Amino acid sequence: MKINSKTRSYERRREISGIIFILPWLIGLAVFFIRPIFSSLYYSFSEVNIDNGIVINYVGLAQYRELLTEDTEFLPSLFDAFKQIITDVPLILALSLFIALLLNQEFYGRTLARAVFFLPVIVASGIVLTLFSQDSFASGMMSENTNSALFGAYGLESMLQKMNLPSDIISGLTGVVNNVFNIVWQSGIQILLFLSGLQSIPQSFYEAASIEGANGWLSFWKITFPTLMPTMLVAIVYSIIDSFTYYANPVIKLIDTAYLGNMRFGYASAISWLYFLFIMIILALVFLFVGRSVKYRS
Amino acid sequence: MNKSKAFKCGRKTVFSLLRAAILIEIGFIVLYPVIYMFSMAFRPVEQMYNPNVIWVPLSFTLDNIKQVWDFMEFPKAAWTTLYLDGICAVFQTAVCCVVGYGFARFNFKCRNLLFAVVIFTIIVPPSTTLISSYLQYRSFDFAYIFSALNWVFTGNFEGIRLLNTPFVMWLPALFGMGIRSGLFIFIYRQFFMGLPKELEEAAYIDGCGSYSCFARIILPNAKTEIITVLIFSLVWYYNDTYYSATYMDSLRTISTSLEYLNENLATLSPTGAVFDRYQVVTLVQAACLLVITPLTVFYIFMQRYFTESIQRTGIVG
Repeated sequence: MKINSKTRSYERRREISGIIFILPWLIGLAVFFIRPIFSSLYYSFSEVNIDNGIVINYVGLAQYRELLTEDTEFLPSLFDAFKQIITDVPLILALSLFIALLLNQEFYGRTLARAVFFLPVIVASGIVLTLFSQDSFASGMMSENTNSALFGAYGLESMLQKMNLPSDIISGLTGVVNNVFNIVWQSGIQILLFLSGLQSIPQSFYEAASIEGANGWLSFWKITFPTLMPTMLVAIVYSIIDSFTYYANPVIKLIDTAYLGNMRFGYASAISWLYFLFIMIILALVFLFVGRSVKYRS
Repeated sequence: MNKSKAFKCGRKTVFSLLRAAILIEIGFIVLYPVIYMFSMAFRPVEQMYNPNVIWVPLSFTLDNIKQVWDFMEFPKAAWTTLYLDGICAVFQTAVCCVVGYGFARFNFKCRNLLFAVVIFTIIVPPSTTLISSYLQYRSFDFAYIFSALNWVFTGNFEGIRLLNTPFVMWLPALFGMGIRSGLFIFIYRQFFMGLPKELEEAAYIDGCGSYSCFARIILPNAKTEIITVLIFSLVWYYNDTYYSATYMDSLRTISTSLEYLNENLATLSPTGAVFDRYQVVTLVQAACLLVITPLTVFYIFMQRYFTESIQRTGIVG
């Protein structure tokens, strides 16, 4: 009886410690997140007009109904966004893990190589990339060589149309090439995640394995891969979110058009909320299936 | 014996060559825009009209760099970036670490639900909450605490105007609501869950509490992870123009001054003459080069922490 109450008070103490650890985030959630997010949820049920001050009319589910039954763009865009994830995410993960493994080895010029593969992290998340894709001179230069695929649809799409070849063959071929370039550019963060994940594998694991007679291939599948699984889950979730919230994503474009183009704030919020719901379902599935197979070392 | 050694040596060479080939091949894709930047930034603008010059200019000049340096008021912008984004990144790295540990190692009510909210905070794009956040920062208050503070100091019982002050960036970062904070909490959580529990159990047996155990045992083991998050956080704050331009139009960081430069270059030449299209290209690329250099240098100094597995003190395996 005594032991029981003691363990219970210990658990209670742990619970309180845990809440204290996440307290800063809880405060931030209450102060900075709850209000904007709920007002956006409220807008999704309302017609928002900002011509003469902000006028909000509650319209219930009307906008959601319009979105699902009348809007001809929403569902196809959603499907496109989903298709992109199914094809790109596995490739991004495989490539970035592969490059991280290479960059983790010791070789001459490693610092330089690592710096080069860090560039997408810097460039792709900032205004530099936007400027580069707007640069008419750069794209003019690119359309004369194969690197036109480097910045995705801009150069490639127009190049495709100029060539009078069977469109199926061309789009199939260049689609693959196009993807390779895009995938390299989207892999920067994941490479760094894997690289730092690789550092947390104790060298002694590999020593023990090599004494037992395991070769490199075997110790990759038996040691590196399972120990990297927690990082893998982060990389998968990040890749999915990155693809869903990328500015060129079809649904994000749709939201921006409704928001800034047509000034339909309520409708934009309604799209956003359906989209959030969709992303959260996908992430829940990922956590359910991938998260299960992650073995934590404790 | 000798034969197998030679075989091993040969295999090693082939492997090195293969690795070099792959890294150079993929590295080129990554380097392409940077090569373009270098090519444009250091060429005299006259050579833009020379059809013989494609990649390597006939002569090099620092004029473009000097011009954009002055335009962007680079030293001032760099200082703003340092105290604004640097402090945000440090806050974010520290706070997310603590929160991530809380989610990884403690059981409390609604933990999984709250963690789902952490993930949810990452997927909400900034445009969704922009209007209400802006209104909130214009007159910032929470449960009348800030109004009361304002009343004590200035005598006005109203919310504090946070717009155009660094606090509009610092405060969310300090409370785990900065740029992609949720992702960092997730990264830390995954890392801490992967740490062996024996590390802490030994400390608890020695009479260590949760907090001192975190400070003395966990933090020293999380060095690589902390550096990773610091790098990401700094890069994303550094690159941010969305929040900075909306909430602080009077303070210009390096990235927002690049945006400003791009928008105003045509009208802002010192002589009053309008720049032509080609000159704009060289100047903008010179500016881009200036913008990416500080982060690249920072990363080169930081990447040496990504070497050799960490020797965990007191634990084998």
